[in-house]
Amino acid sequence: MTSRQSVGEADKLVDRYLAQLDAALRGVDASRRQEILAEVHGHIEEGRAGLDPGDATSVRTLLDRVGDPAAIAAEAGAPPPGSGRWDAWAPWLIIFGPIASGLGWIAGVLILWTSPTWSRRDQLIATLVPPAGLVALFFGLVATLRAAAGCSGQASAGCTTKGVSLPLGVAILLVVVGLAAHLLPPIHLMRARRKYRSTTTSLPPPGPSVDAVISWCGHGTQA
Amino acid sequence: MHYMEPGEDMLAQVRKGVAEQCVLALLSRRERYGFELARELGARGRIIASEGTLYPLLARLRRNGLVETSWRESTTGPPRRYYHLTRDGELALASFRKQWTVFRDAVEEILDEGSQE
Repeated sequence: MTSRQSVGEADKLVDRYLAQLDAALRGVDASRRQEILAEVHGHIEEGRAGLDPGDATSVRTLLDRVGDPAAIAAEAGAPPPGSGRWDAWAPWLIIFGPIASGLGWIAGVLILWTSPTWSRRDQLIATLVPPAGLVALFFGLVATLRAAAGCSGQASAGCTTKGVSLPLGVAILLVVVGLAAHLLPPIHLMRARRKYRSTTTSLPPPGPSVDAVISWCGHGTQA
Repeated sequence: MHYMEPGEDMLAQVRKGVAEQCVLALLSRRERYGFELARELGARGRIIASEGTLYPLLARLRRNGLVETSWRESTTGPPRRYYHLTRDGELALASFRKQWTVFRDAVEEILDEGSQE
């Protein structure tokens, strides 16, 4: 017998299976992952076409034959589950690592490059740009202090520190640019991770308010 | 390290390489859609581990240019994606056929010798 409720139950089984498969395929290249998901979905629909659509038992048998999502993901070359569990640390280690200790930064970069979460481009930018930003920030701060103390090209009284002398405006600009270069790539890593997780885990996706905030931040940082 | 049932593990290794060739062979007769291929391979013993593992395999064949796909309307449901062999796919299959025959004969010969001792 087919009741609306049992069709709903069978649909739920299929949806849950596809969500598990999607999660298992994390780390597989996006277009290939889409292709595999769409094909498995098509396979299940094809199989259901010959069945009573509301018969949850036969849908279960069908899904059993399709097989363990982990086996499909392994065939697709997905990294084993558990990789990426240190992801949340990477942006923070990249920001504070160089200040606290160089080792922290190295750990952050290691996590960054061994995780399937980020694209090659994100990895490169987050590795190279923040240290450059920190150097710019350092020189900018020194130059700002010197400019504020009234040092010009020639050494004058009160200017005991050696260093490049820059006009105050340029020095401040260097500080701002350096700070942005140090902070924005790790912030982008956090956003990319959240986006990646919302598309890869079978947990319910974040509510609209979180999405709205993320997209708003996106406008802010890309402007 | 955990030691698996030797025959089981070994067969999985062999199957992995051979399943692709079996798909190419099935497609060399006529084009087929995924569900059809999966059922066909499933019906013939354990050539694929489960029906779903066919799809990463097909994606790989497609990326390597051995098969191509086209969408066709179906009378019973949504459109189907049909797979057919490319020229490269035909060449790959022909070369596998030759090597497989030699390999199979050699293995059988050795196994037969072993059982007669």
